[in-house]
This record gives sequence, C-alpha cells and structure tokens, in this order.
Amino acid sequence: MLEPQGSSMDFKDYYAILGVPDSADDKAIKTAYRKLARKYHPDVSREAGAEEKFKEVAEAYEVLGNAEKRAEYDEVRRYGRAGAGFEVPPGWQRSGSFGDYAGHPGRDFSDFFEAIFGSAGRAGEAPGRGREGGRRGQDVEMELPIFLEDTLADESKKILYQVPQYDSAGRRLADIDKTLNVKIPPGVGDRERIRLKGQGAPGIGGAPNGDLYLVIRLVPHPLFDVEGHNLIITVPLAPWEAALGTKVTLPTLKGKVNLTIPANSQTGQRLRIKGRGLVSKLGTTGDLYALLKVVMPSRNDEATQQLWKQLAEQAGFDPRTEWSKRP
Amino acid sequence: MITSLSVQWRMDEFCELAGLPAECLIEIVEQGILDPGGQAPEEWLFDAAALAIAKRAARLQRDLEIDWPGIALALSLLDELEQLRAENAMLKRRLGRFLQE
Repeated sequence: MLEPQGSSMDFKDYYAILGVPDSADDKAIKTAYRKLARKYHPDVSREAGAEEKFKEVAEAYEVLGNAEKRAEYDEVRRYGRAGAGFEVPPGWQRSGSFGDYAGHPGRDFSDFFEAIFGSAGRAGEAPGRGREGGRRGQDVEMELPIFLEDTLADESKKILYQVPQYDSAGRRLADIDKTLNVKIPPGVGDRERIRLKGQGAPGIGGAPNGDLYLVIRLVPHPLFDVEGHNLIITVPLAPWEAALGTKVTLPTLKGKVNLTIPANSQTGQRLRIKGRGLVSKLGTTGDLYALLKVVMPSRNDEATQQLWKQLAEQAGFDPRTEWSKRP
Repeated sequence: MITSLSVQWRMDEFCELAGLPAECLIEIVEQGILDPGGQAPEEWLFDAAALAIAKRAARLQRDLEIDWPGIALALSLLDELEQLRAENAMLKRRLGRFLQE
C-alpha cells in the first residue's frame, strides 16, 4: 500500500485509464468513468483486482472530471510521459486552490496524485471527524473463515490483521499489525458480522478508535453440507446394504452415532438424526440428515458376476417403467 | 475478547459511524433500504448489519452517481445475486457428491 517517498514515481496516464483521447469533452469523460465504475466498483464487481482498478478509475475521474485539475494535469503530462519515471517538474507550483476540497471522503489516491495536487487535494473529510479536531479511527472489515465445528461451542480464534494509521495531518503511515483472540458466538451463520468495539484503526487526537468487523465465512466441510441449521451427510451404501438394511457408524460434528438403514432403502432417501445439526442463536439445535447413495463396487469377479445374473433373472425389476408410459 | 452481535445505535450515532448526513439516512430509510423500526426518527435503531448496508449505499451513491431509488434497486438485486450465488455453490457441492469424477 505504502510506497517509499522517492522523487521518482510512475507517471499515470489518466486518459488511458479512462480509455478516452486527450481531446475528450466532459461528457465523454463522464460516460467513460460511469461505465468503468459500474464494471469495477468493489461493491458490485467480483472480478479479481477490481478494487485496485476502481481506485485508478476514480482517481483519473477526480482529475479529468474537474476543469481546473485537468488543466494542471495536462501541463504536467506534457512534461512527463508514461513508461519513464515521473518527477515533479522543477519549480512546480501547485495552484493551491484545492485546499478547501472536501468532496470524496475516505478515498485513497496515489503518490502521483499527491505530488501534483498535494494531500489537500485528496484528504476530504473523513467520516466521524470529532468536534475538537480529533478524528475517529477507521472501521476495519475482514472476512473470518471458520469451520462448522467452531459454530457449535464458544470457540476462540486467534486472528491477525492490519489497521491503517494516519498522522494528525491525514498522511498515511505504515499499517499496524494486530493480534486478537476472538470468541466465536455459538450459532453464527455465513456472512454474519461480528463487531469488535474499538479494535479498528486508532483514533487521531484523542478521538476513539474505529471498530473491527469480522464477516463470518463458513468453510465448506468435506463431509457435511449446510441447509439452514440442519446438516446433510451423504451415506454411500452397497446395493445389498440398501436391499437388506444395515447399521452404519456415522460421523457427526461431535462424535459418532449409530444409524440403522432399513431394508429396501433408496438413493436420495433422507434419514433424520435429531439434534445433531448446527445450533441456532436461540439455543435450539438443528438435525443431521443422512442422505443415502447406493454405489456399485468398481469391479466384480466371475462368481459375483454370476450372482448378479441370477438376481437379474429372479428380480423381474424394471427401473424405467416411467419411460414406457410415454407414447 | 468478548464479541457482540446485538449492538444497536440511534440515528445521530449511526450517522457518524456511517459518515452519512442525516438527510441521506432519512432517504435510505424512506427508500426501504433499511428498516430501523419505530414510527419517528427518534425511535429508530440500527444494528451492525444496517451499518454495512448504509456504508455500501453511500459508496454506490458517491461513486456511481446513482439516485436513491436506483441504489435501493441495485442493493436488492445485488443481495439477491449474492444469495443465489451462495445457493448455487451449495447445490453444486451437493450435486457433486452424487456425480462421478
């Protein structure tokens, strides 16, 4: 995120970023921005790298969408070109007319932008500015992948994360690494948010810290699928187990249970094991469903083949009666 | 570290956290993007999920220059999309257990 403050940086061609010629009028620039913003907005797009792309596009529009800034940028652009390292022209004086700019809070523009327009062009008013000049720290949001097992009890999870840090002038400093032991409340669901008060970015000038929000993501389990508060486990059965019935030892999220498979069971049939699902916030517990799936052995020897033949002759079973009903 | 799921804020506090002017929040509630309960704004209560939605609505309004009815529509469609994606991923996983590789 933070680049070393050098005298040289990459030149940003805002026209190329918006995909417009440098002769484009305001309307064309606006249209190009809107199109790209809809495509890459991090709240809309799931494309990889969308957020970075959107930031670039927003920065380009911030400059090209404003007549004064565009004029200053055009001047700089005549001096330095993409590809070569960019240096602020010697004797460069920014007009200083952007000091009162307070348009877009919470945006992070590049060093290149700052070199031309200064941090005043960028700062805007961050949310939560206190009355005494202090500023509440930013809220930080992160995804927390958890296993189904973690939702059953008061599990603790150690999390590592970074929070942004700003000095009193609004300049971004190196991120702070933080570690926290978090108790996962029983019954949390996928995409649910947990708030950790005051664990976000530090406040400035005595203002309170921001909060940390953890967005729960349930990690898909190799054995269990989730349906509300119920769990589903697929139980493979040999054809004769399905025909004659059997007992299987079934894994659950907590220990094992014995399950009786009745004779003449079918693929797709569900058997309920009460109270072995996920817990809800109200303290009730869902059920576990055993979903039966008849599977064939991958190979048969001669003798087994013989037995299947015998069965085929005796059983007189047509599994496709449905088809023959149709004209 | 104790975690809290059931935090609730009143309007002024919520506006500060979301970085939203009160007029915008009123607009968001009137569009049905958030339902804070209560008859009058003084009775409104917002939770952590509402904060995430409000921030998202504010970003869309700022960055995409959409009006509030458009945002209400976009948010409900995005939400539906996310639910359908989650459901689709889940059904695919379940179907995968019955298919041969």
